[in-house]
Amino acid sequence: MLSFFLINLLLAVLWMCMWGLFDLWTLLAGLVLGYFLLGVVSRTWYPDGKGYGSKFLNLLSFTVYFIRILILANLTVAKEIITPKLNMTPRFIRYPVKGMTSLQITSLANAITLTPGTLTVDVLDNDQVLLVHCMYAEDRQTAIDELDELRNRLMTEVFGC
Amino acid sequence: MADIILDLFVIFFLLCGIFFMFVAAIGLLRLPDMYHRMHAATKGVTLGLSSLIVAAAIHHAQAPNANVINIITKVILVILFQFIANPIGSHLLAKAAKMDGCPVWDKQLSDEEHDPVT
Repeated sequence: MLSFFLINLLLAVLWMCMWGLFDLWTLLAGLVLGYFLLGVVSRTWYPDGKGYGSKFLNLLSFTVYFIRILILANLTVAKEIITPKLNMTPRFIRYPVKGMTSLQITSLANAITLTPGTLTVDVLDNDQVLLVHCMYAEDRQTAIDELDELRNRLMTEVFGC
Repeated sequence: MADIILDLFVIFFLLCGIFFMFVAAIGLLRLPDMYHRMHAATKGVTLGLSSLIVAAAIHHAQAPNANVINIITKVILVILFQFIANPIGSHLLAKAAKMDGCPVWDKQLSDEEHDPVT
């Protein structure tokens, strides 16, 4: 995935060199052309028949989702701070991350910190469990479900597994 | 006309940034314990600084001899590093507080740190 993105950038730079124009529109045209080219070529690479094209779209949809929950997180915290009463129900929750690579755990921990009401505090038990501080965890299972949704989207849309 | 619309965008992003940074600053004073304060500090600063940077970028891209590619790449890099560095900083602070046995809010429901491995 990342190597395809780098090839995409390289194709765009080559496109700019061929034209001899180093401005924004030539770069964009090169990126779009390279995107379609790689979308066709890369299908043979992946066993599921989905090439660079749909994986890149997945990444975009994750970015949109992530920005949405980041704004939502800020609004929840802002509401809590501005309104006079404090009605949090905080908890420390153990969230199992067994079988993920360290890059995936780091991404997940960062994503958890930026989503509504959750903050990663520690990694326990030889990188198998994340200790998460939840602001609104009246019901433990609901909080776990929200984390699960984030993890599933991160794993399928960014890492593609 | 386009200038006015872009200026409105600049004002909008500046106001958003100022609002979230301000709320984060109040949150540091008002929330009950260390962990809640880290919530406010991380989220507010990440989104607030990103909005301020976007506002600055739109403003500078309007200049007559602006190098738009340069501005866009720099903005993307800065925001990307924000999103990586800010959570890691708060993670370390919260971990230090946890190891130090920082006092928690008395309405906390449960703490599963020392639960057995499942």
